[in-house]
Amino acid sequence: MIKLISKIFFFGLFLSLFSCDIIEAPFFESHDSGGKIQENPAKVLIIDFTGHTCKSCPKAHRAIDQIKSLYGDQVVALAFHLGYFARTQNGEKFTTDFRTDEGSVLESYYEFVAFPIGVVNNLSKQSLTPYANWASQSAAIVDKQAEIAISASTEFNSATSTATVIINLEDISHTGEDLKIAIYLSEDHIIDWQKDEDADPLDVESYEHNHVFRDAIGSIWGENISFESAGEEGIQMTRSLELDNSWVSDNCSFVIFVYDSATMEIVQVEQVKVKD
Amino acid sequence: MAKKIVLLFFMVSLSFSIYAQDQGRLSGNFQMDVQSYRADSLIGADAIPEKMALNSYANIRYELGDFSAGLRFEGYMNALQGFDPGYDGVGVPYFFARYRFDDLDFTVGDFYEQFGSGILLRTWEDKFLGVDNAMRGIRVKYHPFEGISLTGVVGKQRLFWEYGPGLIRGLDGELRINDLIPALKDKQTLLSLGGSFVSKYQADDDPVYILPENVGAWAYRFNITRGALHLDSEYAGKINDPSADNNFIYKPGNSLIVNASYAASGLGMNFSVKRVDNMSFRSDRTENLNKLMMGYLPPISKNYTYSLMNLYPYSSQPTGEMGAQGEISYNIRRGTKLGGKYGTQITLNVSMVNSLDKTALNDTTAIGANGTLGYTSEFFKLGKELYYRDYNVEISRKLSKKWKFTGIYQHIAYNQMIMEGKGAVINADLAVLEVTWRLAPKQALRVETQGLWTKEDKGNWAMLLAEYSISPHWFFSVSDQYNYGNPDEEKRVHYLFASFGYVKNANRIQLSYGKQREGILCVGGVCRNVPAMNGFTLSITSSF
Repeated sequence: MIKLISKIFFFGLFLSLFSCDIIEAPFFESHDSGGKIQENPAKVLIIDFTGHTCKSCPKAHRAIDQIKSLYGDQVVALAFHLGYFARTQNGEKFTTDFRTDEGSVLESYYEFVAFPIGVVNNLSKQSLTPYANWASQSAAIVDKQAEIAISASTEFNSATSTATVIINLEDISHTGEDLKIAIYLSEDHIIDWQKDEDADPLDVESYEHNHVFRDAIGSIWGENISFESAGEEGIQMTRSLELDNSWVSDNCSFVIFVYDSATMEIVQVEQVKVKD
Repeated sequence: MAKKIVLLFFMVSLSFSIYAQDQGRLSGNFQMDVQSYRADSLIGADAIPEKMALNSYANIRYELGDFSAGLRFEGYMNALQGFDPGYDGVGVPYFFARYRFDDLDFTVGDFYEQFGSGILLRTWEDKFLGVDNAMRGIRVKYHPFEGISLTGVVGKQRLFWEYGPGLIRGLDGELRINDLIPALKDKQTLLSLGGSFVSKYQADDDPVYILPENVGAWAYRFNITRGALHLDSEYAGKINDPSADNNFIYKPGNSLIVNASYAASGLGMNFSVKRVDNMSFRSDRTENLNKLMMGYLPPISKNYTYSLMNLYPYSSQPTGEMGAQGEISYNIRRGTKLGGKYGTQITLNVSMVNSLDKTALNDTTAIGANGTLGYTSEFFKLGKELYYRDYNVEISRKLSKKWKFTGIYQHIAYNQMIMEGKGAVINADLAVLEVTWRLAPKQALRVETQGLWTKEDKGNWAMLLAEYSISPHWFFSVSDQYNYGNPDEEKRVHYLFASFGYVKNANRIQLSYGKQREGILCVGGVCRNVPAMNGFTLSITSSF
């Protein structure tokens, strides 16, 4: 009897081994861009942990571009330059310091082992995942309805370089109680050095750095919010931030997200340009 | 869950013990490594909020006749620095039951398996490296006739405390020709042939690429021995397997390994060649580092135990490499003028590894561009980029009953950008002199003097180690690694380290204190980064 079972096992295994999927070009999926939900769709926040001397990190940058090309503004990206690969160097290359105090906090929290790595709509340590997973994780979110609606507008005072964001939060269907809101400032189109193993030469002088985290309003972990104490119109808040002179305000955006501090799951995210 | 597993294990073991007159055999071992961490900005060592970290393991195994069962407790509270924090936690991640019945051998639960040289499938664990990609599932070994072995496996691989998404199915067969054909049984030439097929299934939920959900790979091998001559080889191929490792290219992969050796009295020769083209094989196409590796590509560079010789170690490049290694070892006979009273061993070794020669598919597609067939590559053409060179000579001689020495000179060229993602090609010269002085019948003093000279990276190093042992119980050692040539004068640091240990029967306790430099620890071509550390280390091992 045991011999019969083993023969069936080997025969079944033998058959399964022939299941090979040889893919012919084109190798890319073809489908319409954007999710299926028209009103208040869930949005995705991809946080990319990166560094300008990390030669593999541009692969993750390009993965974000591909995901954004699929889902448009339903995908919001942030790039934290931190750790070993974000250190500056003496000489002409890699002298710009993209690191921030907030990034140092995250470095201690996540205990990174390798770059590039990131999180998709969840801030927990267990959610750290390689860039190759970001597209499938995003795809699982974009067709859902948002549980909280975030709308935001901005004002910019050029004289003081102060950006103000006016936020309105509406609870659609979220049931959690431990909510926090975090408001970050990011900058696009920064041209600077980057190592890129897919480029020749390896050191790229005019690399375009996007979604670069610059600052947080208050703590990196944000502030508590509660819909229970808010009226039917939801939660309104106004926050301001003075921009550093080296940042180009035209390229800066606020990234606003609400997350559940118990699960660290990001409930919804919104991005609005500083100069709306 | 862990409690249930332990309970089940003891119940099964107990029931077998009661059932059988023979009480069976219980064996096991325990290991604990504790490290305290002090911040030391000079060497780049960080303190950690929990002040100390601990890795611990305990294996328990029970055998009764053809039945065996075992489990392993693991506790990372929290994991030592340099190990992935994904290990943090306590549990029983490994347990199995195995039974042999005539020609059949069943294993259910967790197991380690290797097909051939491991190119397609090698599940293994190394606690120093933080590697454990055990399979959980079913393994059946079958020997229908003398000279034929079949092994089938189905399962998933361990990823910290979880299992990877890929389902592995594998079949391996080996024919020992001399056992199979009675007329060849007593022949001097021994021949065996083998073949493997491994397939992995991982769902495609990626919105960007059309991904193969079933990826098949195959390998053929032979092994031939005649007297002092030995030759073995394995060739493996794989269908399209786009992954994070290969930047999602759809090119099929292949790999060839050939080893030849000759061993006669006093003379040993080994020669190996290896070609690897797009042969990274994991049970999760998105993973990196040492996680969920199915295949193993053995390195063709020499392994060393000396610290400075491990400063720039080579690790296999699964996406592509071509290399060769040759070694000649000669033992000059004792009693001759050159060989001295006890003989002298001389070993020459050369390792060379380069990139593959890659050609773009067309004028508009970059080599290795994602979502393409990647590149073309001529099988026998060597790429121009140097990955690694190692030229070394080792002389070992026993001078008298009390004195023995080993001297090594080595020159290496190490492509740091390929291995570590930083820097450039490092050219370095190294020398080691090890002297062992037997002071008394149970006492020995061993002194290592090492030097590394390079103009690149962190510059020159010198090291001195003295180890005094009183067998069979005590050993003491002190060492200093001095980075005296660091271009940054502030970082010309002495890494002082001292330790002592006590051994009694199967128990071993070792306490160490000092600074450990940042580095890379490699075993068998697989490496992990070891961060700089300053603090105490306590290690306890025991077995029964």
